[in-house]
Amino acid sequence: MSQSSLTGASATEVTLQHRICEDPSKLWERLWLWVTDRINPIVVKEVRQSLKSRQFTISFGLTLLAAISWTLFAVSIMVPRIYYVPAGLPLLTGFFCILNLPLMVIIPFGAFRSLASETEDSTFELLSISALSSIQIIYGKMASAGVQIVLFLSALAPCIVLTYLLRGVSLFTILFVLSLTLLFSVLETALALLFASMSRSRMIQNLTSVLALAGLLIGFFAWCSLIISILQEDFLDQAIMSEPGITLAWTFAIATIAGLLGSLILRTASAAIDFPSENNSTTIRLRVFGLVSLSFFWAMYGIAAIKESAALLVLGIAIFILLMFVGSLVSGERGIISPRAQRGLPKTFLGRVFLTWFYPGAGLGYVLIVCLFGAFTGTAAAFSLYFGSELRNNVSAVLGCYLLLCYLAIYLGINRLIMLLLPKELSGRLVGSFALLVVILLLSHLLPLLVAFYAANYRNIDYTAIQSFNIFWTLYELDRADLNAAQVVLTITAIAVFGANLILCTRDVLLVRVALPSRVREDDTPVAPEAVAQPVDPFA
Amino acid sequence: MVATVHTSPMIQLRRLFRFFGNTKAVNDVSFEVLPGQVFGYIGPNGAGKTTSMRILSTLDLPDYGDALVDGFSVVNDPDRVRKRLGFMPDNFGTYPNMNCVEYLDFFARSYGIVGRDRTKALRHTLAYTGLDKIAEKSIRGLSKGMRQRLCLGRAMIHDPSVLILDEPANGLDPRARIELRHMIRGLAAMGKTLLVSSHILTELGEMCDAIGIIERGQLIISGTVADIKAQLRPHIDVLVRLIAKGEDLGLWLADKPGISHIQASDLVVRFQFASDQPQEQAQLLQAIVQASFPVLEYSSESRSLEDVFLQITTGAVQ
Repeated sequence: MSQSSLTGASATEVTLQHRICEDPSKLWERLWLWVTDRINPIVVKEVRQSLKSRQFTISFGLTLLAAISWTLFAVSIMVPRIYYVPAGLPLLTGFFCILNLPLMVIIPFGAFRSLASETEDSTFELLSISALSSIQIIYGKMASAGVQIVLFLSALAPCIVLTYLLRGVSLFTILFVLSLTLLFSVLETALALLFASMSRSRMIQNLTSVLALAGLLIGFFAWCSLIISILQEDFLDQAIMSEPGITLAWTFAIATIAGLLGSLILRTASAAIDFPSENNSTTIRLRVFGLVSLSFFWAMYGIAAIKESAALLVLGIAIFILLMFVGSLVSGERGIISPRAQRGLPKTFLGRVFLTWFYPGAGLGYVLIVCLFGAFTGTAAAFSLYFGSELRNNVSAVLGCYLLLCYLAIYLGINRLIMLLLPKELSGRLVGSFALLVVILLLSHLLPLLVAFYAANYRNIDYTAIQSFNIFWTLYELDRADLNAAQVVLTITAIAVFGANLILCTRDVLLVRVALPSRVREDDTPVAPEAVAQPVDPFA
Repeated sequence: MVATVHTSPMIQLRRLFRFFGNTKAVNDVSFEVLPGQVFGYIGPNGAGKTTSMRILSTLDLPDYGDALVDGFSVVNDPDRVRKRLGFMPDNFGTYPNMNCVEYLDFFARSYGIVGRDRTKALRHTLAYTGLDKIAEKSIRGLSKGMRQRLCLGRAMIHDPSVLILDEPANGLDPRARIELRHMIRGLAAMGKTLLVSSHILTELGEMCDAIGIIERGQLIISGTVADIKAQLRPHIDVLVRLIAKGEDLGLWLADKPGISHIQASDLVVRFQFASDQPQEQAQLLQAIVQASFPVLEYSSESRSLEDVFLQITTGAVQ
């Protein structure tokens, strides 16, 4: 224990005049201190920096200028019709396009740069050795972006209210499109943070910076097109009028899935910057499990409502893409369960059987992901059997999901087996694993095509068993060609790859829980309060 | 604010290994630093000092072995280590659009110091590091010396019991170095344990209780400065100037125990004496004078830390 604590009595002897160093005297100052003490320190820092930064001032000023200019321009060309014809829709479209630029490009890219510059300016190491957890760092960056979103939104809020007053657009449409835009902006920001956290190598960060900006610009234009078409088609009002229950259910489905997806992305980003011995896998895998279950729940609701099993295949493809991405990151794990993570391993036999798969280790993660999609396919098959006669395209959707299960087992399995050969300490394993999966997919699709073209003397070719590993072509031929040979090839290969991976992760399965070190137990034990002398009763 | 009540070593390196490809940056390094000690970590560039310090600061993982801070493993309990440790890297980052007090305030918040505790910690840190006069100055405009002070302030803002300072005196002018030395000794007087690496060996010699010399990833020697000097060369060089009879003194000394390498001329005699204890030197001088040799000057020179360093290290790099 230090003889003179920094927060001890000696500190009061120092007289320093500065607003941050002064004890608050007024009530509102004490209240403000109390509030900021409970806010993530990253948010406090970023807000302080933003208020002094030229980038924020310029982008905020330009957005305001654009909104005012658009209002004046649109109103001036609509006069005098504006007095008797509903004029809200064109104005609203313009405002959303203006709002989309900061929300879809500037803020997400700002969040990306904010995290990336921590590495460039050598401040990331200082942050990582502070008491802030990686989750606090990522959520702090996200919350700072949230503050900016609120500021930009508040700047354009009067303009959006104006469009409602000008008629021609319903309140539901405005709120729906606005909520969707905010949700998409938050998801984009979370993805930008994930990209920024993937590697600390300057070269890879520059590359991801360019890719992120390109992706954000594409997202901006795509979102603007979508917003324009949603507003012009006016189908939202029709949907809420004709089927309010289903419309609200879909709205709720989108919100819950996007929320869970965003939380999964942020947790993955925090895991990427966390200390290697920390167990982040369990939380991430539980979120993946929750996301797949939630998506499946809403899909079943949707299928039961619209009686179309093709939706099952669409959902299967969406979950397949998500699990391929998550699986590639899982394969990039170091593949070691640290002694720290072993402290939390399940105690009981049943716990070990069912929960071990949620613990760190590329092999365990791979098995979990394949089993998860297997459970999805099995439940989908049971569901289609139950509703069999009522559904359209019943068999092909289940077969499609089964083929996707085989692809998942094969491609992720091969990816994991190759990653096992690389050094565990290799930097950028996560990015490397994702890149490797892309290469495996490219090779497995292009090589059979080239062979088939060569065999057919570069003429038109038909689908044969050699193209079984081509995901797109096989799914395209689902209702057209005989896929028996492809089923056999894919099933055998999937079982072989899955079996090899299962054998190689036996060591991880057999690991048992380890006890807490005595020093940690000692540190966790609260210090017993000193015995207080009881007053003596003089009359006893 | 973490209280430490036990007396076991605050820093322990246990057979630490860290490889970068074929380079053994840290190769089987073990040592201990006791509470309240200032331990100097010395070695040429690329010896493995920074790597070991980064492992201790939970910024890197060892390939084998472990390091403990206040009994907690840096591998398995980094969160507990971080609460007890302040690290000052050799190149530290700053945020744009921030001044000194905002920078320290942010890190105080990051360590979970809230309310009046934070304002007190800020006041004390700014005063201790001498940054109170320039608290509102932008970090980008600070001199090297002031930046070092700010970095030290950041490392000590949460009142850690262990401080790891990587090349803190690097690039500082002589006055700033002296001030830094006083600050480090002041922190040790507060009961903090310090691990300090530096190339400026004269500085370390004056402020360290113990030192460890590392080269090519291996710890060559460790212990207190005096012990190491004695262990490496347990004698001192003595020079005696006389008015006359120098050669006679040489002959006289040849019969005495603990005297060697005598070089005598008429007026100057040089020799090595197998002890650097002041009492024994005084007795020898008294004996020379009592033997009626006309002594004009008697001087002895012990070895500096630089001599020790040069003798031990080969200067080889990997």
